[in-house]
Amino acid sequence: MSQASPALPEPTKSSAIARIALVVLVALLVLLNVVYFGFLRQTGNTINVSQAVPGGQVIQAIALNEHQVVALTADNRLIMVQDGKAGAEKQIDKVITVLDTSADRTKIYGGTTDRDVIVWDSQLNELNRFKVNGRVVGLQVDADGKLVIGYGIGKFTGKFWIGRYSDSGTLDYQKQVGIDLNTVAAIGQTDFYAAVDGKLGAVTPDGKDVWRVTAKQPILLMDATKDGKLVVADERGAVGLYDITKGDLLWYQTLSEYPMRMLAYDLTSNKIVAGDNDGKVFMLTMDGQPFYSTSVSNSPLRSYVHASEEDLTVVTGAGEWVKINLGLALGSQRQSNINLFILLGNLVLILGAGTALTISTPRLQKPAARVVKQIGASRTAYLLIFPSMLMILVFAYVPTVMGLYYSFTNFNLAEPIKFIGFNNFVKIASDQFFWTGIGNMLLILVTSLIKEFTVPLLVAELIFWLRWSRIKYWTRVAFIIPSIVPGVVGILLWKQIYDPQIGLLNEILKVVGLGYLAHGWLSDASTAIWAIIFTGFPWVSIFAFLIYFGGLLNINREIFDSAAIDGASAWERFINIDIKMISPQLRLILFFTFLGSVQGYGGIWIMTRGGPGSSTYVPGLQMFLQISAAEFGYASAIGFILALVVLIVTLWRFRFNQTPDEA
Amino acid sequence: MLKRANLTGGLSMLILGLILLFSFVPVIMMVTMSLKDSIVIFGDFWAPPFPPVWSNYNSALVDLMGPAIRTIIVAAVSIIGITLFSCVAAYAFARLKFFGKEFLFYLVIFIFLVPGVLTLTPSFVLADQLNMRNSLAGLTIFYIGGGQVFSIFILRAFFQSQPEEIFESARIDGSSEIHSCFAIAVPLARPILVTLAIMNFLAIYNDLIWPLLMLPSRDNWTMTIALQAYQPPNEKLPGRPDLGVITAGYVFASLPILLVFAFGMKYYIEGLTSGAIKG
Repeated sequence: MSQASPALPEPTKSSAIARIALVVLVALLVLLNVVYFGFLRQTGNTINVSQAVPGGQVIQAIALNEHQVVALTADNRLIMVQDGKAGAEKQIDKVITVLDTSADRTKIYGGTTDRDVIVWDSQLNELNRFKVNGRVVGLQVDADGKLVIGYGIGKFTGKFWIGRYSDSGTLDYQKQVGIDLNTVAAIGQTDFYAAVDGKLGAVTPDGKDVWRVTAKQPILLMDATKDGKLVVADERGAVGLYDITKGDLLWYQTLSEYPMRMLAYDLTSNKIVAGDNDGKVFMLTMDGQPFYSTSVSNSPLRSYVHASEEDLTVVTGAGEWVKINLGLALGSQRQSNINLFILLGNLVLILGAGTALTISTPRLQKPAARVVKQIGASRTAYLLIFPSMLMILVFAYVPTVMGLYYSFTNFNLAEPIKFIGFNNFVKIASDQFFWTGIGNMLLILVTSLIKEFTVPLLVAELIFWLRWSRIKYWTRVAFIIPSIVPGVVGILLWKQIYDPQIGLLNEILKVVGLGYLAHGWLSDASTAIWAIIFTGFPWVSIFAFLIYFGGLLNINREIFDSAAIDGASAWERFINIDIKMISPQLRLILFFTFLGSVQGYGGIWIMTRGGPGSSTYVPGLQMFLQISAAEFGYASAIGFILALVVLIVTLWRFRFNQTPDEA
Repeated sequence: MLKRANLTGGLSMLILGLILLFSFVPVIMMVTMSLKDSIVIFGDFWAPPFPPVWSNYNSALVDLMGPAIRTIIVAAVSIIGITLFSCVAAYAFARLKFFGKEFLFYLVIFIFLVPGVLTLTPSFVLADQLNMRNSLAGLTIFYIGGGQVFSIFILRAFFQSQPEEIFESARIDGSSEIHSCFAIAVPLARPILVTLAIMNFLAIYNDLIWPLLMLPSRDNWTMTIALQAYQPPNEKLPGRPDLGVITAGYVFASLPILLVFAFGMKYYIEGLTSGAIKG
């Protein structure tokens, strides 16, 4: 037990070594940081965002050159965007579904829901317009200026065609290809279509099937590469590359949990550029290796404008023009590894230097040794608290942190978890169920306080002032007996009492001649909440009763005696002595009743499940129902709000309790 | 003077008797219904339970024995776990000196302030991730973990009030700390331990929300879940609840609490009235 610390066998020699170690470590620390800040650290904006289409929801955008796109908005406007600035625009009289440009990018083609194909020049002047035999779902212009168009009628009808047209509207061929199409593409003389059921097919201009395969997931987007391969992106966030001779899948790479909204092969950089519904952009090499990826927006990616080895420009669904400096961006991916290394290096060196400093400085040796010794000597204590502390950590701290985090996420089972800021709270603010619940909660709180402050106090007072101690004892016992009924059973019994068919309450009303009042107390929205409040009549809360009774027992008898000598009436004594002396107990019950009203909803769940309609909702119940519906983010946010309310009152109570009477 | 005292005493007794009578209404309804045939209940609501129909209890016992045993085992193991771990931890916080004691105890107090509404959702997710859902063992572990803070809080205060001299002399006699804890501190704290055990039993036995989330499968249902969903088949009156059997089930569900009160009521009342338990 009383050994000298083993860490310090020979003070003089070890402190000399420690001093040298200290100097070396500090030198290394300085060197590391000088190198880092001098050479390795990079600064500068990697991503540059500008709002190109003010307030516009961009459905698709098509690049005309490195600096210019035509953006299609949700309200059917075509807008010219030059380097992130909106220019000329044109309102279109039809609902456009898909856009493409000619190979020389001088003409723009659009397909509509109304069977039209429209052709514009690069100044958005309409050149031509012709009809196809259905709603246009896919359109791509091939190298020879022919239009490959997918179109069809209805939904899930099987009435869908792929066809090849000249830009004046002459039909080369058309072929019915079955179930609803998602998109079409053309490579050389072969045309491709992808359907909602995951079918991917190739057709020659004479209308013959070349091949037909089933993709891993339904394909949403297709494009042709330089060497005549077909790159596809699907609704499960994957990108794949097909050989077009037989339809072999060359590689398949899952990049995102969200559907892909943008896909292009970029000739300049010989890379594939893809973007998902969650605002993430991906660049892939031609053998399917991820080259670069980053999150650029909260809205879906809609179009890429330009890519090279140095930069990448894309347009998002919110109309943002996003320019990414690839040189810096790729550097910053390396940078984060370097940063981590530097951080760990600094940490190790500082710890080492601290230890060396402690050992080499005589003044610090003793306290340090004491701490080491104390920790060693308190092994028993640590052992004793270890199981509890571990459980508190796992079952209390971990859920607390998780709950705080989940409140700011969309956590549910349908979508991947995502940080959404205050969105849950914004949604709660306009959630009618929540506010109905708050109203009910306040009503329950007020009525509960009235119940807890009247009947149990009256019973405690009456029993306390009974003169016959034997009767006093047995009355007390008698009042406790009804509370042997478990809480859930108590609620179920009251539910039975309110039963419309065979409930005690209705039967009593019939007996006393008030049968016309009888009805389903819990199934009527106007009485349900009051029936819940009335539950437990005459509300002799045994907990409150015992707490009050204990408080009365602890009052010094002499106070009562002097009051009696002064001729105080029972009422005066009650107001001036009893209430005052048991005020800590009253505050305790006030606090517990508050906790119970805010956090208790099991009874309501049993009685009405919150119904009829939302008439008996309380926020806690809503949270519970949201958990049952696997809406964990929203449930956590409701829990967060309630917890905040409880916490504020709890802290206020602790402050209040410490001031006058605890001292 | 004496006469007047008797008069107020009588008046008090009258009011108390009236409140008591109303308090007993649900209990009386439960017991009388449990002894009647469901045809009689629906036929003549006010008919007395004579002759008593004991067969209601046979049916209810068969249906609810499983949930009852499960709940009692969960409660018993949880109470043992809560008491054991919180006793030793509270002893260490109350009697021993160690590095970081203040800080660690603040950790305990701080988490005491976090309300249950915040942790319900994440606890559910946590239980799911730890594969503890749909398992009575998982439910028990969560009860043991959840019961630590309050028990440590109460027991530490109690252990601190015990005179240090006893423990000092035990130390001189060569008693280890663990031995002192279980041989001296714990026996002296028996009343408070019984009170805590009763409070934990009532809380666990009555708990509905957490088991509802934890135990989706009927094979694992605890008493409260089984009761709120209890719908025994009614052969004589199809489509109507068999109220006789259902209320017999309610009476059966009340028996464990009756037993606990019969043995521990003295401690429970003392615990609540002495002011040892103050939130």
